[in-house]
Amino acid sequence: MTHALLLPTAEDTRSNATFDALMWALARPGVIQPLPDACLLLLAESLLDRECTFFSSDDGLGRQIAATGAYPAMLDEAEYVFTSLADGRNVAALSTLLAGNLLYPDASATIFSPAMIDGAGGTRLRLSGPGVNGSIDLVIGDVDRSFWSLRAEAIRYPLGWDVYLLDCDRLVGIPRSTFIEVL
Amino acid sequence: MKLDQLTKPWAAFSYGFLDESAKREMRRRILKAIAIPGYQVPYASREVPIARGWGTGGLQVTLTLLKPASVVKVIDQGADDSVNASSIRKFLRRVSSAKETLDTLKADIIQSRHRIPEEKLREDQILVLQVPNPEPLRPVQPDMSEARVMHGDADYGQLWLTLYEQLVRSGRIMQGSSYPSMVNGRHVMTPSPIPRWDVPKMHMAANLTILSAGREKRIHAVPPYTRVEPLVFDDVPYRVEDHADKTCYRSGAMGFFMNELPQDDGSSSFEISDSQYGVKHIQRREGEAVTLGETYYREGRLER
Repeated sequence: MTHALLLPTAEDTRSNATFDALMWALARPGVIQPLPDACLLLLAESLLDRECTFFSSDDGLGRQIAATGAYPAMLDEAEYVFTSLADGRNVAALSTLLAGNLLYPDASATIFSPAMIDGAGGTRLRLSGPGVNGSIDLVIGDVDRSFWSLRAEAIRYPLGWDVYLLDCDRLVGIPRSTFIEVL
Repeated sequence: MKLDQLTKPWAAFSYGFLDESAKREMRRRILKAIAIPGYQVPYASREVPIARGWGTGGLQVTLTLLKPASVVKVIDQGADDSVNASSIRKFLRRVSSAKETLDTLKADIIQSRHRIPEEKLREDQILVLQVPNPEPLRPVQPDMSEARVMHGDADYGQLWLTLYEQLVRSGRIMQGSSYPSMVNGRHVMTPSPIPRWDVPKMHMAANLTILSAGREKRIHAVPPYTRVEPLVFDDVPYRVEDHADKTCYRSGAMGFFMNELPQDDGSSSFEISDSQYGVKHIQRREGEAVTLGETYYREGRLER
């Protein structure tokens, strides 16, 4: 007896490809992963539903994300934070982000932000830690320099939060386990 | 918001068997597990059409990862041809249109019960290990809430004590499988019941490893290039099984992890545990063109 094989819908294909990028971005910090489309909403679609809370600094994007069923929340309660790190004031507000607790370090936030990856005039970073074979250098623009010191302050491993940076359809992940040296 | 905005048109089955909400939950948990290597992330663990304890944890991870272009290998205690492994492999193909393989080198995703293949895994490969008991502290602390506090405090003294007791009682470490291992210098995890032989393969491995316990509803991960150090005393080095000089009676392969087969005369013969690697040796002997990958062990010694 032969059985029909299940095939993915266009939506399945898109959300699977997005998750692939999200997973490998976190497993290989600093290695650029391709996304199926250049859009922050895509990331929300593949991860968020009614079990999640989110914060978006952009009202338009916030309305679109709310359509996934996720609940809007204040910055200090949101599990998924969509914001721009280009502005120093936005960055300072991130000091209140969820960083988990020692019993549940996973009860923590994930930041998604647009950025310029490997462009001119950015901050040169050296990443090391799990997922990095030795060390890897990365130039990140459109992220305020103060963000990197704030991150170093906020992370008390295993407590802390994880960051995704998006440049059009290119994605870079920086988990809390990564050590960053600003060069 | 209305219900019809959150739902999709009716379909007999979702792609990859799990519904979208289950997949999104798995995705969120897998990301946290990768961000905190070795930490056990709780997850809902949905029903799948095999019984709990038969690889439902690994199955849910694999179902979340599969695409039609994926090539999947499933092994059970080293063998591709056990009923459990072949049933899971067939099921995966039917619900995802992914391709099946027995060859470690050709696989994108390798779901495994209790073994890591002998051939080295690459950076683009994912190893999904089925885990019966994800809690390394259970033998010393049966209360899982207390065990969680101990993980939070990195309080692993009692694990060292059990190892010390084994040394005092037996003169050597008796822990045969699930050897407790420190991940990224912070969390002690169980590497699932793989033999001691396989634990060093995880240390700074190129591949991503995801370990999932369906019955116990816990998921943990080891990203590529992550330290995985078995707990050992400074003066008692870690020892793997003594299989360096054993030769497989079927394939002639030597220096790999073997299954011992007792014989009528009281002696033993040995058969390579990674069945497809043995098959490849036989095919090569018979003149077929097969590619034998680079292995973690060479002549019974770990390659570093």
